[in-house]
Amino acid sequence: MDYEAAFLRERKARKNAESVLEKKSRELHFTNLSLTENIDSLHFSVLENKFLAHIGRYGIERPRLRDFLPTIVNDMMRLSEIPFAAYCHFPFDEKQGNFHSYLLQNPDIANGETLEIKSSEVEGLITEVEPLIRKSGRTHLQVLDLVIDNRPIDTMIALPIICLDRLSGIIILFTKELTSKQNQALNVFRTGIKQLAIIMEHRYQEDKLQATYEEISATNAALKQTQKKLMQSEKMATVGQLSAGIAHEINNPMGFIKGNMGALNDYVTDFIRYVETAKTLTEQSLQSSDNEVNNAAKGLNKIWNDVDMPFLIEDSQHLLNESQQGIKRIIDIVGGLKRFSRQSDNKKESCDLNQIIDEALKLAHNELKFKGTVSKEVSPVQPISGNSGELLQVFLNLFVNASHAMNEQGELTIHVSENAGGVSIKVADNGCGIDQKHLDAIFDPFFTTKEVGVGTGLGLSISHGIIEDHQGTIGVTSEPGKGTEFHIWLPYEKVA
Amino acid sequence: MKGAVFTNFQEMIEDEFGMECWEALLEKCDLPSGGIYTSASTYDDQEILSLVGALSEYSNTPVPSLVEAFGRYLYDGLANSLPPSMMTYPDLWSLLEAVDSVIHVEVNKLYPDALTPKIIVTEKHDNGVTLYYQSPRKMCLLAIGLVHKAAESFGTPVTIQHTCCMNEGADHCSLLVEYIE
Ligand code: HEM
Repeated sequence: MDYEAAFLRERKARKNAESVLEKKSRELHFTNLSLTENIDSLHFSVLENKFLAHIGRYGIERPRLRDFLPTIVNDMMRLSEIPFAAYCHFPFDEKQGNFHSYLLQNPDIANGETLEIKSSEVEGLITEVEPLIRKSGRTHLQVLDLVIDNRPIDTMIALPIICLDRLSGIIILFTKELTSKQNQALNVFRTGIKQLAIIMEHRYQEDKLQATYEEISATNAALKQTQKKLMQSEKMATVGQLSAGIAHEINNPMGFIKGNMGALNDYVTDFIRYVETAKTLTEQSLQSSDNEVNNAAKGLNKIWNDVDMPFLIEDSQHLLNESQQGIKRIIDIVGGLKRFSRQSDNKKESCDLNQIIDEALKLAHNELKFKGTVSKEVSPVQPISGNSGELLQVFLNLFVNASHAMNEQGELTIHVSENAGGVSIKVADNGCGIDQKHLDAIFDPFFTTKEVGVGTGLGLSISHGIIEDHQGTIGVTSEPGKGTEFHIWLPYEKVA
Repeated sequence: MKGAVFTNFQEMIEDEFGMECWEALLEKCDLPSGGIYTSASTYDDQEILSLVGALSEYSNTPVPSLVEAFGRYLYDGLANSLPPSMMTYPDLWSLLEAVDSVIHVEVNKLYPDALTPKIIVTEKHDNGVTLYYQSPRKMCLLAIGLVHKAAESFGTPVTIQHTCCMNEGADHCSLLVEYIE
């Protein structure tokens, strides 16, 4: 038996088996390799999807970019296995101020947490890179020689976020030796960031559209309000015109009534003189022995007593006086009405302000009579050049407003004096006063605190316009609960 | 150490000293593996050291020369285990450059548990190169044997000067490899 031959055969068999094993092992290795690659690329795709999905979420959930950037930056670090990153945010709304983050550490390295590392070196780099990026608008690669947290760093990649041709932010990645995988990731980042910029752009446009829409709605509402008020003031103007017509109609009959009343007064005086003389005759005739005379006198005396002649005499004079006063008032009021409605004619005339104020008080008498007392402290002033109708309107407006502010114990004080080359008029009431917040808007057109339909909100703005027209000033001070004082100043000589 | 190294060692013993010697060595060393080696497995480094030590006694040859001799023997065994397409180098220098970057890389692919040394060409001269060797096993003599045999396979024998050595406390070995004029 040749054992050696058998042994050599066995040895050969083992070697063959080993080489087959090696071949299999090699195949296994390659299969393994491609599997690992597949897993790697799958892993990459999952992260890539997550990253892009996060970006998509920015469009849907609409967070603020500043709150959102950390998520994106974390995604990017995870996806590219880059150890450190930072970001800047330059908001559209410049009032918000720019933001620079600290250095962030990849949460996969930092035990699942995002660490914030303060590094003045890194901050310096970020400040340096910002102007470069602003200029180029492109990804910026820079070689560094840094050690952060015991990790050597030799590359900085700064990715700009450009939205509407404006640099909205920068994402900065710090790594060592960019691998081809990281390069691949960078391409994904660039696409993602572009997508982000597009979403930002849409959001910006949407917000702008929304703002414009809101503005238009507000304008529309204001227009409707204005229209309503204009209609109201149109009505007022019509009333004004009507009253001017009526005033004219009333004026004529009033003229002859006044004349007639004057004549009637003269006649009545004559009648009374006659009747009183006749009374003396009657008294004497009653003493007469002539029966005929005596009877006639008795008859007259009876009438005297029956009609209560002394009362008639006294009362007729009284009635006449009263009527004449009434007529004078009617004439005054009608005159005021005429002036009030003549507001559009621009004729300047010599105006006696004291007289105008008196007239306005008369016109407002109805409003003021239940609201307490009116006191005037008036010193004589020279006339000014102006439109008396317009000025009347100003004071009338102030008095009516004051009457609305006051209750029964009201006190309206009017103070007229010369001051600084003009006339100063103060109109003070002790009414409810005006809130500070309303005070600022009080001369604005259509501003009113009265209920809809009660005031037009035009009164004080028109007054303001009129005073300005006269080169004067109008102002107001008020204390809620204590009262309001308007002060007007009108110059004697108008500056051309 | 990979089984391939042991099987080659066994073959060398059988070829040079005969099967009785191998049996004697095994008996002497009383190894954990019992001397049953296959190329795919990995065995304790101590086993090869014990075997080499025992052989030194058996053959009255100092360990260093044995290790270098084994390196020479090992080269063919290793080279032949690779697919022929991977061993097509035009000269010794290109082979030496490929050891670390290609050949041992392949080894590690095949045997993820392999622990190959760092062998790098650090300098090129007119007629040679300087090799940098670094390994926890400090088997620079094995490397020298391997390089000699590789040089012979190209028909260009070399001299090798060991200018610094890990076994003498250095952190690496430097081998100056030069053609014989
Ligand atoms: C001139 C060329 C070569 C040199 C100088 C060289 C050098 C070395 C040395 C010195 C070792 C011992 C381990 C150490 O020192 O840490 C080693 C191990 C090894 N070498 Fe090479 N080698 C070369 C070529 C090859 C070739 C062509 C192969 C082919 C497969 C190869 C495969 C291996 C294997 C499998 C090991 C064992 C590794 C372990 O046990 O973990 N070597 N080589």
